[in-house]
Amino acid sequence: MIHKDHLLFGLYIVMLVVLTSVHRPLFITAALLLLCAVAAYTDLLTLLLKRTFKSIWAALAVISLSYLAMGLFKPIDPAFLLLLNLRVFTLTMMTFLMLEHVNLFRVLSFSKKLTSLVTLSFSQIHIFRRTFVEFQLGYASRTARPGWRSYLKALRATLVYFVNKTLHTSQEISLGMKSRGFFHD
Amino acid sequence: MHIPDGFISPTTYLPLWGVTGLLWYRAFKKSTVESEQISFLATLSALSFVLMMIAVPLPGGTSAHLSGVALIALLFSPALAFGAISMVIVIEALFFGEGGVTTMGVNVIAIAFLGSYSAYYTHRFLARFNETFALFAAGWMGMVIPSLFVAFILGIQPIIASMEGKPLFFPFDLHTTTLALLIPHALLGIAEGILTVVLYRFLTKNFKRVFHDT
Repeated sequence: MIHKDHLLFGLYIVMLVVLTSVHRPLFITAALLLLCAVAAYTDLLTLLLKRTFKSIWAALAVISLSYLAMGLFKPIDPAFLLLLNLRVFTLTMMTFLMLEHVNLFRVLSFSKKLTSLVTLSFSQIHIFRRTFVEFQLGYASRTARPGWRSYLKALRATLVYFVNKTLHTSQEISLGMKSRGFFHD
Repeated sequence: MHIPDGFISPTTYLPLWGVTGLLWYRAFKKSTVESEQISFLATLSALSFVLMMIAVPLPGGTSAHLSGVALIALLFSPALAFGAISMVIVIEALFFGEGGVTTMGVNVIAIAFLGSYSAYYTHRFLARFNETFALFAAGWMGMVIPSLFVAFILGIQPIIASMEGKPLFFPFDLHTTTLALLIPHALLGIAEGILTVVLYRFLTKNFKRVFHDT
């Protein structure tokens, strides 16, 4: 059954292709304003603008400044910078808006195995990431003068923990899935 | 090394989406994905994600992130590394909004596919001469080969996507992108190579039963 999430995700993919196929800044500006209107309607405008800016400012600054620097040696097209910055900003904001409104797990629900793989990977990445940050904070709080020796020692201990966790958690999950009748093998 | 959206043209990313789809289909068809493999691939993706979070301290107080591609490919297998790292890239792009959706194909082919297989085959070829050097070279190649592919994709944009001689997407030519990406990644590859040697030795020694049985 086609759900709202499938339609929105399909629309998002079509708009990605459209926004990278049209090279008129006016068209992309109109699309950005439309996105801002949708975001404002759902009280997400400030959050999405901040998130988008934070996500791309470094890459755009490097490319834009390098392009301007290239202009010292050969002729450049300043309008290109407007097009590039506008397009990258619009596409990134559209992705963040899509993430707020679309349930991607439901989009992938056409395949049971794919859904379970993505769901499990997503949840495990979250858990591993949080634990890794705790390891990093622990290392920082216990090491007054960090050096290569202490860094390697901490890194090796961290990786033993995570490889162990990888091997054991996968067994636990698969036993849990089997016991609940998820697989027929 | 991830490329954000908007830097490459549809004439590049659409075919690369297709190639990525084919590679996934082949990998999926080759292995009968059963319960244990699904959970293992999921936790391996999480491990790959953690490896990518490891910051290597560099002189001058800065740091750079490890890719961990070679380590995963050598410890498990290039096919598993391809699957796990692909999953990380997809989740980063689609769920966290990091790395670009249009550029997902480029990122998967560069980092997950070329990174894993180049590291694995480099090690396989060089291990007969010197194991330590083979491990180091695998780590280095796992970092450098993807960067060369990304440099190529970015560098051809002014050729294949321009209007009246003016760029529409990434503006720098092949020469510039190759130098800009190759030099830092070749240097970072040294740190990646050293860590691959140290961590591979340490992990295979501590998990002897697991990695010598595979």
